[in-house]
Amino acid sequence: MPSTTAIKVEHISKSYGNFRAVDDLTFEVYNGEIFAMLGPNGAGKSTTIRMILDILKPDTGSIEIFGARITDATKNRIGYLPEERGLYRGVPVLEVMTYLGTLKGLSRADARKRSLTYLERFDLMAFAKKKVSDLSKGMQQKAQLAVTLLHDPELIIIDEPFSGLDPVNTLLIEEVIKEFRAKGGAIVMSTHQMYQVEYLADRLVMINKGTQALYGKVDEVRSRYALPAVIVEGKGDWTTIPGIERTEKEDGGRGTLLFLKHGVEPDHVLAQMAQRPDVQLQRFELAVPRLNDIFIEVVEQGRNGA
Amino acid sequence: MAHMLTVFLYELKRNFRRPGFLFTTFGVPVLLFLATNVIGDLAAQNTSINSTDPEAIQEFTEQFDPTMSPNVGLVDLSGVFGEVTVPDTWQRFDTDEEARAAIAAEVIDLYYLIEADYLETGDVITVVPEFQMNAMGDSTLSSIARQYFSQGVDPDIAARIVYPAIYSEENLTLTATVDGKVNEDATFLIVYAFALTLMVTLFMTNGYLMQTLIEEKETRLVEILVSMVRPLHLLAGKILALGVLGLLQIVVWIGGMILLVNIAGGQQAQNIGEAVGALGLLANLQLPLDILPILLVYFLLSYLMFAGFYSVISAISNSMREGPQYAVVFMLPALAPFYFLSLFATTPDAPLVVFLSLFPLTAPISMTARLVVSEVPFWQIALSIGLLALTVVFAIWLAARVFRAGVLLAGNVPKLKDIPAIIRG
Repeated sequence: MPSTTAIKVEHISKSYGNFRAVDDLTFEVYNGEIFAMLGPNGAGKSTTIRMILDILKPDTGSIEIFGARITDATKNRIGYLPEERGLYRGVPVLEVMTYLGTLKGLSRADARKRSLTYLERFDLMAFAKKKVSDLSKGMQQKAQLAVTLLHDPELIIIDEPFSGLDPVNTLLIEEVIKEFRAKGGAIVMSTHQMYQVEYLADRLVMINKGTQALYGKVDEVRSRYALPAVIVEGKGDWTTIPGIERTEKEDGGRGTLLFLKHGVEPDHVLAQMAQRPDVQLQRFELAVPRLNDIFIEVVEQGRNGA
Repeated sequence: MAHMLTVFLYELKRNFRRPGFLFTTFGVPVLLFLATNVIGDLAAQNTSINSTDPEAIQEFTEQFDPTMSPNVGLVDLSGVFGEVTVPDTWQRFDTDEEARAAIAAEVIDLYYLIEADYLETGDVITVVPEFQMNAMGDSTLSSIARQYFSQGVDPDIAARIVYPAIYSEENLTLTATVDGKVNEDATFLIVYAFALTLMVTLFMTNGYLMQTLIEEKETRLVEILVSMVRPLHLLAGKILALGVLGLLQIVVWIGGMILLVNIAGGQQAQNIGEAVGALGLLANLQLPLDILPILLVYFLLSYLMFAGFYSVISAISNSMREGPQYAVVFMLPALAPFYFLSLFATTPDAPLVVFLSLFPLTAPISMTARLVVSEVPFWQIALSIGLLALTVVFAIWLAARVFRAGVLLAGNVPKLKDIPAIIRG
């Protein structure tokens, strides 16, 4: 676990009139990690992000950024890409990037220089002097991410960073995010693309109805929801293996789901299989659910009041 | 404060480059200046033909005859024009019937019928086959008549016969009636010009303010901006930038007026007056430069007042369709003085005029109009500025209460019943 904390959120709550958007939420984000913020629409993610950024004030609780209350100086160390985003449509791309860079404390010359560097990297140099309205949605998306990174922040908060991007540009942005993490930066990423969370994020918090539904390392959270089963592929009669209660075809896969009897560990089943000459094993893994399934399960539980 | 300065500089640059601003601020005065000079030159040419040279008359006829037709007939029942030299292409007819037949045969396009009692009445009928707007002019015939009547007369006296007087006006006091109608018209023109200048500048700059604010909401750029800049710093930067541009526009326009009157206000305006009566009033204008500082105070206060109200509207509007609709609430009262501008010129102390110049929403245009045409009691100016200043404080306070992240980021327009809660915070 990284030693320093980028964000420390403690028991924050926020209400709009009678509606409690965030309710006693607590979590931490560390430097050098990608932290996924998940939750259904209207769960309170945007309100939480706005409170972290000091756009909104929490009714109760406290938020620390880099170990202290947020100040104007702290804001210059943060990059923010909101979900609903845009730039001045009638202004040249380079000009609007330079302006936003100066608002982040860069000198005009430095902001312009860095903007050109990012435009080059994001393959947008040919559009530097074109109006924002001349750019496709994907191009605007990249320009906005460039604005987020322009001032070399230590923490970035990005909401749905991959929406509107083709696979090639998605890969490019993933590389940029991983690079940022490798340099020790903290990334808070809000997304509904669960597969991206699975392979990009280190830890997550899932918010449902304003409260914390899940929190921890991605693998640990998935393991928590693991079935008492293993998935196998190969040849053999799986029902004859000691400790197997029943079998099922893997949903959407080629394997077979082997449900274990109560008290039987997967290691024990694997050892049994290894001793059987009539069994040829090509794949053996824990039946860990996809994050998507966990998400749906948690949301459904929330709706049912479980 | 650093953010406010950054926003100020950017908005100043961005809005200065707007084609609409550049054209209105610099293009309109330049066009007006050019138009005045071109019209003046044309008018000078038009009114200086008093030559007795038939060739000059012929040339003049071809170039400036309002009928633009060389095929003109002349029926002189008075006998006065019997020996007058007319252009070669003109035809004389003895009777009206002969001339009518010539028109019917398309030999001539029109003819002048000089009545038998012309010397007593000056009556001349222009007969045309059908309605022709341009046939209403008679400058060719008039020139011929002047040339004829001034034969043998001293050239200077002849010139005075043609131009008995070239008027200019020295306005001893702004309220003095030197020449009843002309002075009144000139006063109205100056009132109108100042009121229009103030109104255009106020609504153009505040319109841009609203446009930039709502654009940031529409594109959702506002969320990025308020994550970096405090909403009030953002607003203050914009208000200051557009205020400076408004001030620049006022200075350019008033400077343009001064230039126009000083350079084109003399003989050129007199020339225009000969040809286009209303514009000739420029010759009579005297700009009240001593009240310019008070006008600037009114501009600044009224700009801040409307900026405050427009910011409130922008904060609760989500599109450029909604904003101007709400702005009408403030715009209509502000424009009300325009309906009574003639009253400002004729009776600047009328109770309605006094009320309009004290009521904050109507005061900027009303007091501006009054100040340029009459002396306004000091207590009225002080009360008007005081009330306006209080309204500015209220408008800015209101803007500060409403222009907050929570309202800016809201996806929908608040209902009327929600407004008090928003103001309370």
